[in-house]
Amino acid sequence: MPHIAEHVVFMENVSSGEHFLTSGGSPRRVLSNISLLMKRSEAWGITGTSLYEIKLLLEIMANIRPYDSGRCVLIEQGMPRRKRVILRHVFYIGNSQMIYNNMNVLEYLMFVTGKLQRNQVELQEEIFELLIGIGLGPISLSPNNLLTKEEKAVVALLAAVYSGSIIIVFNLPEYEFDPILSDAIAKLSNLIRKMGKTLILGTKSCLLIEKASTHSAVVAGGKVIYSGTVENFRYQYDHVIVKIRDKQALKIKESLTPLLPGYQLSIKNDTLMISGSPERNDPELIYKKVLESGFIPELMEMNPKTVQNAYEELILEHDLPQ
Amino acid sequence: MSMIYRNSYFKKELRQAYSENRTSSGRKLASALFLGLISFALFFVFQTLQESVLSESVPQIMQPSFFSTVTIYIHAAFVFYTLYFIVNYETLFFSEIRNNSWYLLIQMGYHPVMMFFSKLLALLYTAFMIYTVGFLVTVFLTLFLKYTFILSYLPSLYLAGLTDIFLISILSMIFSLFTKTIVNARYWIFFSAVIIVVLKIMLGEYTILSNRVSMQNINNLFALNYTAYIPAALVLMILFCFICLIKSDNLAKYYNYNPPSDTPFIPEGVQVVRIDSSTGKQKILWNKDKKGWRGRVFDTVSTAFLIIFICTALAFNIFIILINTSTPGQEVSIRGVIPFVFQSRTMEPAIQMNDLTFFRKIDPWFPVEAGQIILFEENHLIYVERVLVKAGEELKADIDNYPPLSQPGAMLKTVPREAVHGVYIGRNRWLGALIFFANTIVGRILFLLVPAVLLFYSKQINDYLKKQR
Repeated sequence: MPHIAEHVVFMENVSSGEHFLTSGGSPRRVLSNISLLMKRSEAWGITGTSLYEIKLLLEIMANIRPYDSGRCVLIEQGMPRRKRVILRHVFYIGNSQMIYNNMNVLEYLMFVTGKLQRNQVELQEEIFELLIGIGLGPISLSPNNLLTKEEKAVVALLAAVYSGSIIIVFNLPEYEFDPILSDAIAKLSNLIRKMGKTLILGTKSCLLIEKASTHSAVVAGGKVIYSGTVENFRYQYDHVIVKIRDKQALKIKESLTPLLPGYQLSIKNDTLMISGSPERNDPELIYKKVLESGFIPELMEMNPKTVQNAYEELILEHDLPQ
Repeated sequence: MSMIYRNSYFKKELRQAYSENRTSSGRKLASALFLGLISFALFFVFQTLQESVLSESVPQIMQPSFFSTVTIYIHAAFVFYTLYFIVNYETLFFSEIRNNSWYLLIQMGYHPVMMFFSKLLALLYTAFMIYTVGFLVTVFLTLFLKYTFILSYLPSLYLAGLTDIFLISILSMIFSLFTKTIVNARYWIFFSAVIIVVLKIMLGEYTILSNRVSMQNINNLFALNYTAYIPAALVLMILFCFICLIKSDNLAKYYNYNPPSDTPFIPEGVQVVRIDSSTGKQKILWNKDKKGWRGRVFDTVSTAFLIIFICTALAFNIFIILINTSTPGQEVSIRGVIPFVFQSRTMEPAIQMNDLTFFRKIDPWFPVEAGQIILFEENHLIYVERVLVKAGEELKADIDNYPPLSQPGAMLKTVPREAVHGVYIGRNRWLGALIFFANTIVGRILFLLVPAVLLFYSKQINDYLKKQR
């Protein structure tokens, strides 16, 4: 029985040869001492402050670009010396030009899956149902040349689902996926994980990470400042306990500050955010103190702990520009 | 969902630039029909220029015969294919490898060598089909003109044209493998068409192509003492196919990195350099500040080209209008030279029908000698004749060539010196033919309407070219 690799990406102290150079400044490595471990059936969302850093990290992972030092191992087999060479176990999507424009979506997917030893009628039905299932039914018969680059990228991702590759690298952090496409990616991500494959998404969208990823890594200043599960990320860094939305948010803040010692109160977009440390995390107490202050807010809700808030907190914690 | 999509790479290639199978086949047939019709129309345009230098210089397209219509067709097909390749470059050639379309297919189990052969076969098959149907349409249409049907030179003409089209197809394929940007590849396709024309001139292809007797034997196309073009083209095609196969297979082994589409934006003032940690050498990978200089050069060149073309066409139109508005006694002169389109055979062989002639405008004291050709006015009509005798203030002049059955001496005139407006200094036969052409409907469209449209839509054209980049 062949050995099934559990660790699909192993990076240890990987540093890039690429450096950022500003006039008058000294060069800074784009990526420095990156260590990551990704396992089978995981979906990783890689985000960060710089598009170039995210893109380069995923390129190194997919053997598209060389790295200067450290160790990078794919599916426990090492990394080829020759860069950009096609690896059967890595399906890399780095742009959306790879799909043909003179076909429609379903036809293209039938074309690319033509070499699978499958009954064509059943396969077409399956792909069509999958397209409908992930919410892309309306574009399933649209010519590819009428699709947006984001839609084309999702079509390429769908093709990758049918490939034999264990690792799918979706490296398009510069793209902005609308909620429909984000949901489609999330559903494809679930499917990929169920098939025992690993999806690695490069994105600037925290929402996409929240929907489509089980794990997340945040790269800033060339270093990984967080890596782990998305759930842990949300609970570890999103310290906001309660959100109060009111026109008089500023006055409420002034009244509550002395009543809630040890809690941080801040205002963002007319919303008062009450944060606390893991030890000071009592929504009931906050509710009581709000009533004590004499205000009846227009809206008061428990913070659902989002990746976006966690990311912002993390970036603030590291004193980095957003 | 009753329709089941069953695509192979070959079928996908056969569709080429079009979106549906049926549409694709229909459009190919329509292209062939269009080519046949346009060749036929061009033949009639050329027929209107019979009385010009063209009849002597390119009789192979001017004579009323099948040879002329088919010769025009094979050249029109070559131009059509060059334009078709330039416009549909992305779909027809190997730029899809650089776009990583093959990367995706290889990941899905397709084999690059099979894809190469499918692509090549589909391209050549399409070229063959359109060319053959167009050829047959041209021959069929010519049948209506009731010219003598000579079958023997048709196979040679067919083969000569097909060779050109196959050669440009394979040359375009090879450029698509070695050129990184689409714009450059399009320029290369254009240059390869020019190279083919130069090659045909150098290897004597046009000499045999214009010879109706030699073309009656197809073997002459392969006889090196006549022309080396077709044997050379065959060797080149085989060689280029082989290079294409190796290069495409090699390119398809890699993911193709396409900056800037693969490179997200980097902040202003920041460079990305790769530093070799062992040697310390720096190589600039990305410099946003430098981006765009080629674009500016391209914009400047394309705008300059557009302006030059429009200005030349407009100047030519003004020139034609001036010549056409010349009246006796009020001849238009440009820097002392009167241009005059000669529409008669009376001065052959010195001046031929529809030559653009130039007369030096003279004053009454200019010495006119016997033997000179003069432009003079009599009864408000302009005449051009040769001075036979000079007698004081009067000149005796006559035409050089009396048409058959006319009475010699009938045009002998005594011309007062003051009636002479100019003396002949030279002619330009090709410019004459061009003016003759410009006065036809097609000429008017080409020289007046096209520049006007270009002028009107220059912004849109510039924007389109920028978008293409």
